[in-house]
Amino acid sequence: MADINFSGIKSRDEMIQLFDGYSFERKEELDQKKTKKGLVKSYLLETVDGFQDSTTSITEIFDPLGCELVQIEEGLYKIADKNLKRHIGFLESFWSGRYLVLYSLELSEIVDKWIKGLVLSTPQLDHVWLSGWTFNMLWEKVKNLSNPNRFTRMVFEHESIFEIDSGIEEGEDEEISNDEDRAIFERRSSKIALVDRIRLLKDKLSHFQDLYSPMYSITQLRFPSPISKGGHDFFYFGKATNRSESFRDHRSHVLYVLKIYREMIKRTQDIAWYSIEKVSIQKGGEFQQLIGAPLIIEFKDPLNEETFNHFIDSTFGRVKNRFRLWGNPIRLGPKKIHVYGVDKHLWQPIFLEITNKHLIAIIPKGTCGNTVHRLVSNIQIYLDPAAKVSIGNKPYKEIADDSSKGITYEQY
Amino acid sequence: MNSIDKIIGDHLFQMNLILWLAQPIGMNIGLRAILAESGYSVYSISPSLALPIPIRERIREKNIAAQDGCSPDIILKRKSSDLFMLVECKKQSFGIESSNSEQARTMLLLEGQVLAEALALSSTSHVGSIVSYVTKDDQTVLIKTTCANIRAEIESSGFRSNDACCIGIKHDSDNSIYINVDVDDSNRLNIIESGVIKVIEGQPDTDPRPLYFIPLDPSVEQNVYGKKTLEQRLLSEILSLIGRAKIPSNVALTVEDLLSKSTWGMYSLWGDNNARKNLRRQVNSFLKNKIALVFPQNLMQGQDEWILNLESLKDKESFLSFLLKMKGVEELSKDQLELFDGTNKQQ
Repeated sequence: MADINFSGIKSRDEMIQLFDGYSFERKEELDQKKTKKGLVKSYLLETVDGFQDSTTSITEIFDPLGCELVQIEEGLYKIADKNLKRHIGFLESFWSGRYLVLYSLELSEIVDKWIKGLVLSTPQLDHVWLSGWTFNMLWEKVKNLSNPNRFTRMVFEHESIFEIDSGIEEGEDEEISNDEDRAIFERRSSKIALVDRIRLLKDKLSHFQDLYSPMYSITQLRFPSPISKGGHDFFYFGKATNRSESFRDHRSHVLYVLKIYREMIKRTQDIAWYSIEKVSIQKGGEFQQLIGAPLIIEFKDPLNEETFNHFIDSTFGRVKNRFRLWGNPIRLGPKKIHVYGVDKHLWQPIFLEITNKHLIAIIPKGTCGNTVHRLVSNIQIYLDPAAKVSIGNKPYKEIADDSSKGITYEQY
Repeated sequence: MNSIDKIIGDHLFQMNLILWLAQPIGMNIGLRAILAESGYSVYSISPSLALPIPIRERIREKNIAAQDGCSPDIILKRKSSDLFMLVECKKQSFGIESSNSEQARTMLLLEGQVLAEALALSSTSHVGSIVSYVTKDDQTVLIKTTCANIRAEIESSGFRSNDACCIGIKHDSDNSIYINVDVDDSNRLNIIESGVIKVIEGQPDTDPRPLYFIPLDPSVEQNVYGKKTLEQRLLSEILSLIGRAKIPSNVALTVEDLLSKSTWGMYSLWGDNNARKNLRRQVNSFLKNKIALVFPQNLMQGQDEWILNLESLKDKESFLSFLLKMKGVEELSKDQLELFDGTNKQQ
């Protein structure tokens, strides 16, 4: 726990100054490889659609979760855990509470779990989900925004957890465990970290990905700081760690990524939301129009029957499952099922056709767009890192690219 | 048993197939959206189209056995031109004296500007129209003959008539699904290919059905899959309502609302009042016997609804945990799911 006194902070500027000074000290320690305290971390969160339409306030979301929010100024709160009786950090709201960022100095091993616990406890909050394909687009931004001689860091993670049925109930939360305690399963598992100059990685990533498909599953990416050493590490579940000496710069990067993600969500929902809309006509009466487009995930190679069955059984046969889906599969053949189920995190309907070759999802109107990005992230990490994704006839990659157009990095 | 031959004759399968063939799909998922490729998208589902009053007066004068209005299953619209395709799905063919022929006359009379008026489109827009029956491939010949006779009858009475085309559905021993559109119809419908076109890639011992947008239509014969779909969609709507509920709160489980949400609003369009009433009774019975009996202290019966009282997080978790274990809504379907018997394959 960082022994920082938050109580004297009365404004956004004071918070930024506090974290700026703190970041500078931590960067010095990092350079000397003697970090004593937690780095500044940001957790990008999304409140689900519908929140804005209701009278729910941010306080009403967090209060039942045992959190105390004290407003400092418009859109900025101090957040404390009432049970632990300690300050966790600051919560900043963007776009009328649609997105939130929690800034904390707590150590990762504490606050990662705390934030995941919070998200698991309510359907009104979700992480910002950055899939491998989204990181591919962000990598283009890193290349464009950064001096090519700066260092970046990328992490690629893929674990084919459905290749062998370990018979273990999957947690919805990743547990930190001692490697020595782990049972040995023979299945594909990759975690690769690359640290190098941008110019050396610039044109090579796509070659690496062609050679070794788990490298499509980017789960961390560092934006080098343009004003100081170090940078900002973004994680697939919406965490960003400040490894630079400037919090101001860190916050600018967080907002940059958040603006792109927000645009992605809007575009995703615009295309994917299925509904039968009643359209009134001039002369009275109305018509029912079907609008929307399916989310389509095509596996690079067909899943074998064992993997397919394990994926289905462990997702829909277990209350706790990695994908947080509920449904009673209607089996239409050895390698085909239909599920008219629920996204158990947001408690919103989702319809799925899953075969050994593809997954089709129908997202009814109102189901939050981050269901799509969570699904794509998890498919890339746990099932098929190179799976191709589209929404209707628009490739997901193109949606990600389009979402970033016109959004500029600005220093706040 | 529900063989593939029975599936392709099923009205709901035909409707959902046509809806899928008009969806934007950019990848190879074993489903070829040939109608979307040809520029069509879904304009409307089961719209009520009334013949304009002057036409109605004239058909009475001429003693033409047509309905005053009709509801084709789907209207597709071709994007690049104002061409509307009125799609009607049929299990089997019909003759000129059947009740289906009255509906056919009305659809054929909804030609060009008459359809534009029925759709309340701008009077300046030039509208093209065409009727297409979707049926099992072996039923198309008789439908075409019937429609040709009806068209001749209409035109000889001084009316303009739509062309009537047929899209046949067939399958092979690999459970792949094809549509069959002859060259003339393909040209009239502006479909980019003609002949036998594979639209769903089959797999051995596998039901070729796509996900159903429309889970049930009480006006046609019910099937196990449709009922199973509806019950799962009902459960998911109930779970969604409770899962998103604040604590403490009262959640209203309104039978009509649940049915409407589960069918994406199609429930309110169903004309069969008895079927609607029966469904309402079944859903109410489910809420009463399967939920209210288990949680009598939390559920109160209101007017056509059940009020669920969620006092605490524990209440909510108990409900969710109970519902998450549910496999179906027995009240809707007592049958065990036996969707597809791969041993009954037909060419």
